[in-house]
Amino acid sequence: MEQAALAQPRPPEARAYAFKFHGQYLDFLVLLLKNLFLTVATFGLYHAWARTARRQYLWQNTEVDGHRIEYTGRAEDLFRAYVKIAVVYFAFIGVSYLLQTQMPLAFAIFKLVFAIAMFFVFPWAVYRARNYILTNTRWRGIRMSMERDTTPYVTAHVKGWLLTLITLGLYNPWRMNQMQKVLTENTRIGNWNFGYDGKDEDVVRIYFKGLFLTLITLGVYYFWFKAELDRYYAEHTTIGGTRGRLNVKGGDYFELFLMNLLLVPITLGLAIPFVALMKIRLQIDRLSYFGHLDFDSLLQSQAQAAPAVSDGIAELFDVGAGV
Amino acid sequence: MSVPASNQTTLTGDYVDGRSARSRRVRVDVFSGEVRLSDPGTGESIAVWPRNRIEVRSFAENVTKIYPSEGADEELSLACSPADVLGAEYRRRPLVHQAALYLGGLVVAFMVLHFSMPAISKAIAHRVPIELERKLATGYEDFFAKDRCESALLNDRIRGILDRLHLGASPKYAYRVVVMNKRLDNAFALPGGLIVVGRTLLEKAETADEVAGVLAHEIQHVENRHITAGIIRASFLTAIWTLAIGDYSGVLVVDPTVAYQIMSLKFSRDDEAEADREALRMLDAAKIPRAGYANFFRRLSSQDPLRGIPEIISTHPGHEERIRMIEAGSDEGTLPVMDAAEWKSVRSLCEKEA
Repeated sequence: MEQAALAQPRPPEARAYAFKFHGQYLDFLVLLLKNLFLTVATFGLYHAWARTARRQYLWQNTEVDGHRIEYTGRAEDLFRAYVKIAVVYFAFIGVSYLLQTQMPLAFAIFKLVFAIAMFFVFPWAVYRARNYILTNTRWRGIRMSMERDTTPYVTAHVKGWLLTLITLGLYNPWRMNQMQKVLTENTRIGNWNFGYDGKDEDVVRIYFKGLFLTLITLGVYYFWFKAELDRYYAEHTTIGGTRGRLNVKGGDYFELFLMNLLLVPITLGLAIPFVALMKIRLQIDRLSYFGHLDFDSLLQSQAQAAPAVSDGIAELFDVGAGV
Repeated sequence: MSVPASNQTTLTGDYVDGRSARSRRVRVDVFSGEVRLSDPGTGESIAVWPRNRIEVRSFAENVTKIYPSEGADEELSLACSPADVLGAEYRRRPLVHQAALYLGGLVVAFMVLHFSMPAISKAIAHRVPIELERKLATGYEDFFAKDRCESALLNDRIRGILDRLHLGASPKYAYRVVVMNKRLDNAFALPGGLIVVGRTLLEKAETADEVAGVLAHEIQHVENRHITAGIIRASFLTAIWTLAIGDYSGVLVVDPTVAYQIMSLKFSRDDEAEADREALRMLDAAKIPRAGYANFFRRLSSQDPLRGIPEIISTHPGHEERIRMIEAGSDEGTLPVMDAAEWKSVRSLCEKEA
């Protein structure tokens, strides 16, 4: 009997897989100064290299369970993407100008078609930009990625915003949860997909409670609302037998806000890297995953990398990829 | 980062093969021609990487990664400095030196930008076709025209002042003046030759010569392409600033664009001074007394609640300085634009209609 018990494999031990950010203020300040100097000195041409260097710095200073993550994107690809986007952008401006001055009716139709197209292009660019960043993100030699098909995300975005508009904003928390679900479940590392089991009704409760208390506290409660929502999203995210944990409180966000509000103007902007690092550190150091990861079963997957152009388009629209 | 030839170095690291996330402890022998990875217990060979193909990346002072080739997912993590692998070849400038270098470079770059921008933007502005300038301002013209003062007599008198000014110069633009029926004690020009004058400015002007001075000043902003150059400058600075700082804007609650706005104020002051100088030349050529223009600033000076504002953060030169410059010339042989009594009878017509 004892021998039989000994022969049985022991259940894998659950533990915390912690995130840690190692970036230092002086390092980051030097990087920012270098980026700023070279961007100004090259009349903006250095921007792609600056953006890539910043990502490399942030990624390689992030440790997950003792292993640093890496950013492998190349500035040259991003630069080529910017050139392509600039050509299309100026051609677009030229066509708009011509239509506006020569064919007013065609211009009106053009504007309408453009507005409708943007409704679809916008989420497409966000999704593809996220895919570009993730396929260039590597941990323990394994690359992250997004599922290739952008349809679920674009559909959720279009449906969510349409319903939010029709219901004069009431649908917004449902939209938020659906977007979080589709974005998380389409994110992968190697052959593993992330999971999300957050419920609409929970987000709706957090949202309306947050909205009400933010209004009656003249905005102060917003930081506690954001912290509760961020915790909820993290705690309902799973990967390979682990579940997320985010140990942030509203007071942490409020403190960061006050620091930002006071330090940046007083130091004439010199505190920008400091405040940026504080925010990143708060988001990373407080995050962990708990459970068990079987690294032997986490295998490289041949995900197709998105072209850098999507990252450039997302930047043109001034939207982040949510990474 | 290329790896130089050196004697054998033995290190311990963590290796992943790029196919699964499983990490294993390995012994690393760095030879002059290759890097060998082997099992520290059994000595079994795991990988042999030619040194001329490997890539070494520094993650921190004590975190180094080696890859068999650029872009490979297979990697070796070492808890040591890149100097332990690369030897004397690895050199890193101290952070403080780097900070001083880039800060110094930044100051020089901003100085170059600061001194070259007015000339560059003006050179570009002077190449913009007048027709294009006018088209750019078309929307604004319609916007201001909605509040136009409809007094035919007042508009006729303003047109008269403009005609008299034209006697002193042959302007490139066809100027139009819109008197706005609003409480506006100011005047401004748009590219293409539209000048907007506020009703209150006219009501407060004691003579038509004051208005002539103001119109001459605005005409010179247009003639010298100050507004178009300002648009080009602002667009350029905004683009550079957005590219340089835009990535960080998401973490900030304060818009850090104040720095370049202060920088651009100096350009505005230079433009104002040039517009003053050229306006005086125009008044002199049209034989309009300078006294009216001086009186305009004297009145402004006595009413200005921001009189004590330091010049560095002001868009215009100080009133006293401008009055001194105007009064440096003589009014001999000049003739007022309009009889003072006639001006007083027409200057408030706009308000009566409103």
